[in-house]
Amino acid sequence: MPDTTPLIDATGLCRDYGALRAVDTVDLRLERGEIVGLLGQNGVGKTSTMDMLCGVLAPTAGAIAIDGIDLLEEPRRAKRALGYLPEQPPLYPDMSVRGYLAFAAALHGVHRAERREATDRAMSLCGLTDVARRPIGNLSKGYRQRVGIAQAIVHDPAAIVLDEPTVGLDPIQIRAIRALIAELGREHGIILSTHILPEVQALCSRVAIMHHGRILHGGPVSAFTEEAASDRITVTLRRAPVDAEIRAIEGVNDIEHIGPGRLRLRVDPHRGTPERIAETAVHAGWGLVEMAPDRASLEQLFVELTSADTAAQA
Amino acid sequence: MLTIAARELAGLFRSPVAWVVLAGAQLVTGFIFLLHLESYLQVQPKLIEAGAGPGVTAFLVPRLYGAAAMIHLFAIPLLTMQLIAGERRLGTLPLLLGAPVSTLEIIAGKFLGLLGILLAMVALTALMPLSLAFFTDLDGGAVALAIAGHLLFVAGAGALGLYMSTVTREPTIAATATLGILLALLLLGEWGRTLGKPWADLLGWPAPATHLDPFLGGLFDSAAVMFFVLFAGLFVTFAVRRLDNDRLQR
Repeated sequence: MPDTTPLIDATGLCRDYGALRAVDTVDLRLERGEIVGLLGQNGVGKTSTMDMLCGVLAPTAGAIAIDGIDLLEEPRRAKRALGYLPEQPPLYPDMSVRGYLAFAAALHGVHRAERREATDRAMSLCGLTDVARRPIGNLSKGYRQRVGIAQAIVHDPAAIVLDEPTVGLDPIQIRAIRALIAELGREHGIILSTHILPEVQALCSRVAIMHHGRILHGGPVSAFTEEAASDRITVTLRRAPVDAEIRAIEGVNDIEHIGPGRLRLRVDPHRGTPERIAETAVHAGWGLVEMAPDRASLEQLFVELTSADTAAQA
Repeated sequence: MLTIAARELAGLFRSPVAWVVLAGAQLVTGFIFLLHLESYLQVQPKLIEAGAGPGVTAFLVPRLYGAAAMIHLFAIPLLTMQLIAGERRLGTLPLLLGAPVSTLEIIAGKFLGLLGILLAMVALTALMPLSLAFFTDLDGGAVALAIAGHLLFVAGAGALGLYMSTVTREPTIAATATLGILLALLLLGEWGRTLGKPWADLLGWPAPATHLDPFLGGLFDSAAVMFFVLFAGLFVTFAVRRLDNDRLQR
């Protein structure tokens, strides 16, 4: 029978800094083989949440179980199943890559006999074998980030927590790190925090949107990339008619002008509306230049949720 | 715990700070040793004439170790300042806090690593009186006591430095505070001495230097041993509490 205990199961997490409640009753679950994206602007409590999941910060209230083991009751056992890359990679610049990873392995209870193999495996996974003997202080930012990730996986933890793993990297490095994360996601469960929306769409199977210390939305990412996307369509017309003519097309619910000739239509996706719009545009000679489903719906949801929440609080 | 200790020790020896501090302290102590040796050689004929007076061990050891303790008072803060404050600055503390080790193990590991380098300091100082063994008979017991007292003294001061390093994220502040407290305790003791009887004991008691004296005089004072153990234990405990606070409050 496959093990169905969630890798990370946090319930009712709260964290106060003085009078400020930075994290407010957050529930977060990570199942096996899943990459969960924790999405939010800077300073909404993502790092505090991740610090708590990894036992670096004690929660004000709430419970955390790592692979079924209570983190607060049995921190030693629970932390063995965890790998953590904080926002700033915890690297000692004076150590060599290999020496540092061996230290991280020892710290996480990897036995002496297996340490060399563990560091070799982590280095080859993260593409560090060539720089094994170099001091970390001399490495580029991209390599350092990889050393940080290698440190989080060297003891082969079931769950990996990565806090903004691609921040400050150039686009090529970002691609490499994302590929690495995707690869790791096949064998480990990963929680990933970011404020970059495409990163979530590219990597994650589930997303949790965080704002002002609370999780406003949690759900599978696929909902955004496939179905939900098609209820909004962007159309560019060379000779746009008056709104009423477009509104007359069956299934068109709303029109928004986003530029000269560019319209965003909210349509009913299940009644063949897009086809009808195209047909009408061609017959009526509106000069249809472009028509595309709106793929930025995760972004829209994010903006809607966070601005609505801010408005509600104001 | 040993892992942390080993890394700390290796890290200390990789950094130029430790080498410079050890070399500087050794140079100054060595110079003072030679000065005292020179003055002993000058008074020696008179001592022999008088047929009594202190031997070379009794003459040199208190003077040398008195001076060494003073110099190391300045050296130790430089060795301890990075212990936790440095980790805070590098952002490496989450690695230790997120690892399956307790706060006590982190601090104990740090303290052990520090003891390693302090041991080197004690050994380097001990080389000086021991080098005289080539030329003359030493009072082995007195030298051993002085070395033991010196070790206890630097361990106590090191524990204070470790605690100060957990309080701040600026190593320089940790070093300055450690030195300030050690000097204040020392001066308090000196002041007490000028005030006379009840005050001398009272104000001198908290100063580690006061408790080093019996060892240098060739006495094994178990109360002094207890003092150093308590002193070091207290500040190691404080350091653990302080690091735990990081997790709780920050």
